[in-house]
Amino acid sequence: MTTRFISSLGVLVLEIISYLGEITFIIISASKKIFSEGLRRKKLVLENMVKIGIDSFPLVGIISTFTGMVMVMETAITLKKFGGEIYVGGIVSLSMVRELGPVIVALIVAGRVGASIAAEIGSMKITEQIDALEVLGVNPVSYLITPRLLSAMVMLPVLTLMANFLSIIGGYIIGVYIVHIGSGVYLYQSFEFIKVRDIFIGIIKAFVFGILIIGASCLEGLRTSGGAEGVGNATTNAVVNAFFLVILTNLILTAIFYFL
Amino acid sequence: MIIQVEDLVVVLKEQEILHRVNLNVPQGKTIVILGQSGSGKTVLLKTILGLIRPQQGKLMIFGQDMFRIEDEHLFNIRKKTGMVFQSSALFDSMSVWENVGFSLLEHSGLSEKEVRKQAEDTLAAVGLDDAADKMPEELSGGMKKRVGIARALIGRPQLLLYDEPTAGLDVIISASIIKLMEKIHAEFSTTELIVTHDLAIARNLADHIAVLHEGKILAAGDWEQLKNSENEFVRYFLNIGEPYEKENA
Repeated sequence: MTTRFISSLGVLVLEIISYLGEITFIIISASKKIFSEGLRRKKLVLENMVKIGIDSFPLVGIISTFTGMVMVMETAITLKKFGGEIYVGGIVSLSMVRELGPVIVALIVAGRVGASIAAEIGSMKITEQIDALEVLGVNPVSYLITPRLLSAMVMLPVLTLMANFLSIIGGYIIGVYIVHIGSGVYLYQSFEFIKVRDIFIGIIKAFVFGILIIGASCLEGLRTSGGAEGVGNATTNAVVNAFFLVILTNLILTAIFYFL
Repeated sequence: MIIQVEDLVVVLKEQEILHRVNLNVPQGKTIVILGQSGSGKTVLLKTILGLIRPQQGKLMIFGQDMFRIEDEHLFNIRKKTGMVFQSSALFDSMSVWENVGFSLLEHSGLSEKEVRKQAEDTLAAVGLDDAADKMPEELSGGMKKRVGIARALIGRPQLLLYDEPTAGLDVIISASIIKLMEKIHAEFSTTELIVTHDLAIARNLADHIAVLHEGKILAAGDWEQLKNSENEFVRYFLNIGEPYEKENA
């Protein structure tokens, strides 16, 4: 019983190490070509910027605005008990900029775009399109992954900045018109709490999450085997793995910035 | 010899797919590998193209040892080789002319207009004059095969590899694809390696036929020689023997 448990645990650890090795390899291989292949394939990069960024604007906008509104209401209830509701704007804005903004954006993009990338590359794999790329002398990593990686590196921070702005606006509306905090007080507290460093930390997180989402979804696409079921599994794995990597990396980055 | 295969062994997922396969493809000839699904035909083609790494034996393509080949030389071999995939493997997101001209757009430095012209000429050569702007999803199975052939042909390859060129097509369309392959061989003087289970291809196009079964070459020769083969599976496969029992192969 104990031996079997240790054996299963060992297999799991080896699988995780192997997965992390594969994802690191794929990200490094694609990153190496960013300046040559990524910039040469401007059309592909722009197409992916639209898919990853512009097409995510409405969803990110709505969710971040509503999150800002909910956060203000929830925080105000607690702070009112201590007469500290004037700090609501500052606390909510700081939470959004440093933590929730980049994480919410990353989870939305992982769900919306990561799944679609895994499905697209997975379908290409099972219909031999990836083999065809190689036979035609094109490296699949530099053609399929590098442009997506570059697009995500640019668009995740942009989406995060937009999410931060809209969540503060959403929070402002609730704070001023429902919780009845003075408009000037709310804005003063918001910008008093947030420093340039905080915005910068949020952007770094978004940048790293973008890389991880593309790495996880492209890897699952390239590992697809079998038929339609294989594509379905790849899509599910891509989203689950990307979510896990985003949450885990957020913990690690937050700890690093906490000590810095 | 364009392709030289000696005692080639390929193992995938701990299973031996090709077992000591021997095959020579001389310049200008059409060699057909006949075999059932799962016999290892596609694996053999992909190994020749460097898409699958072999474990043992000797594999020389255009005089290059595929066991020790560097990426740069592999690219040069692929430039001289055209591959027609079983599923056609057309890029869904590209129009027909972009599919056909893809390798030129990537490597030739020609303008889009020049590539389009060459793609249209190649499409005309395979009997598709008005399909340039269509998307792959708008094409029938036979048209997809023709586009796949045009894509393989546009770089004027010396060697053409066909993976089940008539799979999934009805008898009439299959016959038209075989005629097209015959025309291409005559017009472009290509060396061809065709893997198929279609006896019509072997009868009509092959200079030499090898029968592959469970990763082994069971018999090789021209059609007449194979018809007289003493191997029960070969006779059964060529529709001239008694029902085949696996353990006797």
